[in-house]
Amino acid sequence: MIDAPTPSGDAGGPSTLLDVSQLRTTFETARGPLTAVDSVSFSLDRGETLGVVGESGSGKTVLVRSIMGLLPGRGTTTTGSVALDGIELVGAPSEALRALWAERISMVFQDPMSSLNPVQRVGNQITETLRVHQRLGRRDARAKAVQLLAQVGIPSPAERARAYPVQLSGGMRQRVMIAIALACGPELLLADEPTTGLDVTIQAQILDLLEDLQSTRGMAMILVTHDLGVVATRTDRIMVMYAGRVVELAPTRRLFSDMRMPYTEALLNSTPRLDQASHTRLRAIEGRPPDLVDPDPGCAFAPRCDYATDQCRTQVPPLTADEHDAAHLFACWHPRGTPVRAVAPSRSGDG
Amino acid sequence: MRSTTDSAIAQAVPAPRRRARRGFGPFYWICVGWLGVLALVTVFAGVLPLEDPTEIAANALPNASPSASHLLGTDDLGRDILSRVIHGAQVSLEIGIGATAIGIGIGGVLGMLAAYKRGRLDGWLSLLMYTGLAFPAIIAVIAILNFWGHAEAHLVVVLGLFSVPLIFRLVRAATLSSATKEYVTAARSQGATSARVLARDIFPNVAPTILTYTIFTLGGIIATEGALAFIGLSVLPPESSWGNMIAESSSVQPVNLWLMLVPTLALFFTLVALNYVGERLRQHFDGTEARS
Repeated sequence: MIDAPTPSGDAGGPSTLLDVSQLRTTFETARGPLTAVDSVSFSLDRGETLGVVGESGSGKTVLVRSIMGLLPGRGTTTTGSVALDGIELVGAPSEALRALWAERISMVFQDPMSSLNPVQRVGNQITETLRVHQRLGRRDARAKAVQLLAQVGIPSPAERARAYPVQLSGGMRQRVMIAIALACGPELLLADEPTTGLDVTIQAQILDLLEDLQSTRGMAMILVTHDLGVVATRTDRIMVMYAGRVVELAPTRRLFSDMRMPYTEALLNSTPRLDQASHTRLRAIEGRPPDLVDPDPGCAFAPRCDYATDQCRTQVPPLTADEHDAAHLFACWHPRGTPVRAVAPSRSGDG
Repeated sequence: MRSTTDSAIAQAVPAPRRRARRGFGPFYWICVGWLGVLALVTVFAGVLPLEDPTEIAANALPNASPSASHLLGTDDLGRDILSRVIHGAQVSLEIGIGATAIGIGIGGVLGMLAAYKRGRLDGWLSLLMYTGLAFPAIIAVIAILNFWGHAEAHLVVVLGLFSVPLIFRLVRAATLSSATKEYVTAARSQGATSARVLARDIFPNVAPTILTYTIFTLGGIIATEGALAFIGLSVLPPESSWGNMIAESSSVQPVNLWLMLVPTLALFFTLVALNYVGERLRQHFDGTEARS
């Protein structure tokens, strides 16, 4: 479907690793079904990094968990298709998924404080994975675990392997989580806001670490974040989500140079920038995310959009490619950078 | 350079494995000591130089005060009180441990399963257990034992089954709180099977709760056994149990202080010790959890 240029320049052939099409996840709630992810389609090449951006509640986490097939069964329905190297994951039996998890597709969780088992030594939590999947003996698994801890930059890894999670700092724990996720050498890593709750300096370290490991292993990665700044320099493409839908999807450079969707623009305007004078007022996005149980008929962003028209409020804009650039997709009736600007109120141009 | 950083970090992070045992306080260790002595004495009751607890010696003095030959005196039939109280402890502990094992075995396993699997299984089991909890247990136990006969094995089964609902509820709650934690999802995302997740990720987190309530349940069952023995629904005289010794002492005129005090205090100390140890352990585990 989308033919993004292969960043690693593979020797031709089908280099698509992950193909997601029309993915839709709904939860049963007391008020009725809540559609957390709707009509999401994209594909990912081997070795590629895709950034997924959106504010809280935009469906980022549900999306990666739907791709993994990790959502709780009851009351949750996932439809559409997720194909990992041609293997369909949606509706696959749990044994089939278990065989793929960790081996080919792996995940780093949001909160390193709660995603490690408090009563198990961290070394055991790594060897566990190795022993299940690679059938390593106790000793080999232990050696591999220490090696992995060293790879994720943990000093004196042999000693730290015997520590309990309580004894490690947040950054250390996230490094351990990464070591666990990478233990079996997956081809696709889903990193769900891997730096929330960490200091800014540690955030940069963790992201650099992920980037390093990814390039040395030639692994594809989906990096989920609410921070456009995080993905700006570390991704090949960026997918912007709003209310469970993809609203813009473009190669990173082109997204920043030529953003089309007003929501992307608003998201960027709400991020502090170095090239602005200090004390420049950040533009918060007015209003709040829409109700996903009982959505309004039109574009979900319309109530908060400066450029919304009646068409926006009644018809959902489809995700379409830019006429000049097939790799740049957006869902907007009045994309920025086109002559529709006449409709828009003039904005104060500071910055 | 590297080693300096390493040692600095090594200093900053407390060495693993050093789990302090201090902080339980002397009373805790006194209680543990009492329970230890009790356990040893009951296990080795057969080889201790004790008189036969049921034998009425021809030359024995009834209601004798403590002396060198009878360390705690004799009862109204001239039997050695020390020997009878130790054999009584055997009965209490046998029934207590046996019934607790049944309670924890059934209630613990079902509680973990219900909380992990949820859905219909959880619904039906919870309904069943809450019905069980609503039952006035002691009255039901008395009724059942009256019909079924009150052999020791019957007491074990009945008391064990009646302790299942409470244990089920506690273990289910503890499992539920652990099973919804992110580390369980993380373990699943690494390809662990349900059995593995239950055994390696959930059980160690539920184990403290199970241990604590094992101790509380043991205390509760020993107390109930004492009450049943008091009204004659446990082992029958001439065999001794704490409850029937207390019952006997209340019918002896004039009052034999030693016959009354010894089994009462034994029961009292045992219950205090079990509850205190359980409570301290609970606090200890709560503390460890709070730190994580």
